[in-house]
Amino acid sequence: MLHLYFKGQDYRVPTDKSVVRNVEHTFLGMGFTATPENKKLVYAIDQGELLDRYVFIDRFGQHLYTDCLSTGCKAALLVQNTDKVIDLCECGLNAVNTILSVCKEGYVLMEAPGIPLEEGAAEVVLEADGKVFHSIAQLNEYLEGECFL
Amino acid sequence: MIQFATFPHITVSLEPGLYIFTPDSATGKTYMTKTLRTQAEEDNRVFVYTYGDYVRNPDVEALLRGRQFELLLFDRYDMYSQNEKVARAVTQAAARAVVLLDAKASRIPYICAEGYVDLTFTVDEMEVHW
Repeated sequence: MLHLYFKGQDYRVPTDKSVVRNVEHTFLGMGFTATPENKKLVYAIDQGELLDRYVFIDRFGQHLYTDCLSTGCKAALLVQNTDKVIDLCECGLNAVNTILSVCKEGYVLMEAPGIPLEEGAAEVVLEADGKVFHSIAQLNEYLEGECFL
Repeated sequence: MIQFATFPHITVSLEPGLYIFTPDSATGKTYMTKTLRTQAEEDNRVFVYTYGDYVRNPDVEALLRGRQFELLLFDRYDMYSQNEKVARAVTQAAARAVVLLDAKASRIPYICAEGYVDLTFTVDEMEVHW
């Protein structure tokens, strides 16, 4: 299950979890492999093909080192491959939408989006404020209403 | 219009002012930053500043004092957007130059921008425009 913490509320990140704000720096020290889930993230956000930890093929067909991935994509890979709480402050809305719909596990800290999140994924299980949501639509309803009452 | 004979070739089709890149990931902003950063070593029209620079020297006002740039690019701005002095330097610079911010937050403290701009990115051309 993907766990969400929203800024601007009295959010409570578990005390045993560290919060990662500097995604670029943390990415340098993270190991991962080209699993189908990681490849899906790189394709969805950067339109690239992940070959291994070090190399991907970008949208123009060039082989590049993974340090050239976008910061949003690196954040997504951190969510997928660590148990740290990843601050999505440097992620564009396209990366946030991808993380929420593709990552099955992980922890994210984010601003409540000003507009509804994309309802692309058929199946997601998200947890926020102790509540479990089985679709992005359910989460959108919560963010529009109850969340900030 | 500001142009740089880099590869990819970079064109900024904007008048002086403060602009924010459309807040999507993977549009090529950081790639453009890296390209312009190298260009700035020999081209005094451009100034590039990112989070690593902020960690080393948060006094942007001092870095900009007495210098006239045509283009200033602030990469990863969300990481230091709470610094009021940086925001003041950014705003002052926008009075006479094109200032581009890579910022994803919907509310950016102390900043009043002209609006969002797009970055069009092909294999040999990058253009920043409305």
